[in-house]
Amino acid sequence: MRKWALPLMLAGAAALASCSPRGTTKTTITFAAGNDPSGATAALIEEYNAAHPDVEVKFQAMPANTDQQHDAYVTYLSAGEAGIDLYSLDVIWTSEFARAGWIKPLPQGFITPDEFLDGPLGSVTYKDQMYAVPWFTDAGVLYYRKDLLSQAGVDVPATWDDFRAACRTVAAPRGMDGFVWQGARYEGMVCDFLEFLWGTGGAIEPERLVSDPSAVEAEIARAISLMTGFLTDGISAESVLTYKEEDSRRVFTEGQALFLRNWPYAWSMAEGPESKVKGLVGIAPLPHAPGCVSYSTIGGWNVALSAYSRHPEQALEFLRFITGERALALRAIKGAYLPTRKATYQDPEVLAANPHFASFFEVFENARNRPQSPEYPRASDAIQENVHKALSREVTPETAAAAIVKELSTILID
Amino acid sequence: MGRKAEARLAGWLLAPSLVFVAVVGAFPMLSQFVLSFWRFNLKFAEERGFVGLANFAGLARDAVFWRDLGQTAGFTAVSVGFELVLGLAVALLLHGVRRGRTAVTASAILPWALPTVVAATMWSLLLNDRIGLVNSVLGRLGLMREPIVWLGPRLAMTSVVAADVWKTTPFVAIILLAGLKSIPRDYYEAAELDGAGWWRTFAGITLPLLRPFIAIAVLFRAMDAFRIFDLIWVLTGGASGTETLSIAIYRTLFRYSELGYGSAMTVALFGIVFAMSLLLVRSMRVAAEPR
Repeated sequence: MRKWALPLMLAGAAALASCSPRGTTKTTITFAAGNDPSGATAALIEEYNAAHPDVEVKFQAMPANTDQQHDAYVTYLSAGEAGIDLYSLDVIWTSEFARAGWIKPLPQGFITPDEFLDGPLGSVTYKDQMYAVPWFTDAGVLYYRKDLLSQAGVDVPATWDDFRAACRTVAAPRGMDGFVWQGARYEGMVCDFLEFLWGTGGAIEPERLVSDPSAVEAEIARAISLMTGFLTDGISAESVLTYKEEDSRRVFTEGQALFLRNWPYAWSMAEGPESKVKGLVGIAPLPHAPGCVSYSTIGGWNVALSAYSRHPEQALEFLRFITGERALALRAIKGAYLPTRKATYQDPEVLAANPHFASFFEVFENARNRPQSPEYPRASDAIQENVHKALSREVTPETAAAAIVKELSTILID
Repeated sequence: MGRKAEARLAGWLLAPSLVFVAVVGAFPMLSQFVLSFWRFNLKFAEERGFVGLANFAGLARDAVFWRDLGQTAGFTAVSVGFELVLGLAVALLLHGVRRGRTAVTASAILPWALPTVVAATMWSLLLNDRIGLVNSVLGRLGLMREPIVWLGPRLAMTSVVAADVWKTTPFVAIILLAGLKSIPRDYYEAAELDGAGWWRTFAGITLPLLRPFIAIAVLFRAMDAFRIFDLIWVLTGGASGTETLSIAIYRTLFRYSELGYGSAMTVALFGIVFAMSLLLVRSMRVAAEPR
């Protein structure tokens, strides 16, 4: 066996070498993004390369873990790495990367803003300049057990009061959890917290932290009280304080909870072969307080041009392709990535592959971004730390709210 | 070969490893040390500047730093304490095993051989309040009414310490087992002739002669425990009073790209661990001296 290894390797190398046409100077464009197990991105790149003989796009698959991707990109870019032309960035990174000068503003009129969903579009600008193109999106939604609600003759709750009543009358007698969500101390909990905050009429905006800090404090305290109320009223178990997305999803698809707050990905899990609630699940916007509007937190990814790219023109051309209608549709069909372009939600092929996209569209129209700031990680940690303390009943919601406002006003205001 | 020539040869032979240590050890440490006197955030690179001791002055006022230092010290003291007592017990047991000692020792060391991240992930599944084995066993034995939230606010530190003790007790046990084997049999035979009981033998012979080994085990374990990151990162992410200095440093250096301040934290951690090791090495020397 072993004596064949060397000749085989040599032959392989020769075969590879003969594949690339000698003499032509192909421009290589490298695109770094989280791995796409569906193969849609690879297929698109292959198609693009076939149509552009002078360019070769290479895909650099990054670890699926968001923090690891962030750390890798920061390391590359702070060292001025020119080997990667395009980066796929989490929606919360735009300001940080733009402020550091690691990504380049896009040329004027590079995209037509009207074609994109407002929410994702709100995550690509820094100081009035556009730095990235929305690629795929995500937003928090409420999953509910439609079988149990209709048996009990209860409507899908629109307000938090109705929601709590439904938990009491439907979930409690069955000994199941009313509501599972993400309460661990991590980024995901910030998303849940903001939804509770927005849905009860609050908001964190840097300007208001200056002009009216006590009002913001009261709003935050109200949102945290809503969350601690779930725990003290037995609507949520104490274990949500350790739950991330998958922990809460598991409880729900095991049939042990009436309501779940999660991202759209949980839909295919709820309808999957291992789910105990297959066919019994509905999707709705999250409840809100009376007189307030329900908002979802936006997740998802954008694509940006590296400031160190040696071939910005060719890179931008590929950026246009990979965020174009065709690419978004194929990624939606093959990988269920939620498109950022409005028109893709009308595409019959996309809807045939993902019938549930139609109901998500409604949620996405009322989706909001987390605070946009180069110092977002600090802001997020301040929220995580204090909200989690209040949920653990170490401090009151009021104390936590005061601490959050105090910390955010030094972090978010420069 | 003359003495001088021999010394020169030794120098040449040592040179490659010295260069290697300089490149992978001294250089990063030195640059970290230098950075700790600078204000330097990767995101605000143009604001970079020499600030002298300002980062350290900031640390002295940083309530989160002191809280994390306290938590780290508490974690180290409790987990190393348990590991020492349990490790000694395991070592004595292993020492007493007559047949199949290799197999027993090998199975006892298994937790130590597992990569920490693997062990931590395993523990997070075992301790999961709904699907975890621990709660399922407790429930079946009728010892538990409500599922226990092991990694929640009240029990997080206890669970983290338990996982660490499970993982590193074998290390202590193996070092102490080596110590036990180094004690000459004659001492025990003499003690037996004199009619000393088990406790008298243990306290009069085993423990004093084991002291240098205990000191080594504590030194290694305390240094490791003080820098703990991976186990806690996987189990709690630093929530509920389990954030250690290493986690705070990771946050500062990587999440905030705050190289200057983060380096100051690293230097402080280095100083603390260094001082702790000096103290332990010293007590080791005292222990080794004949009385």
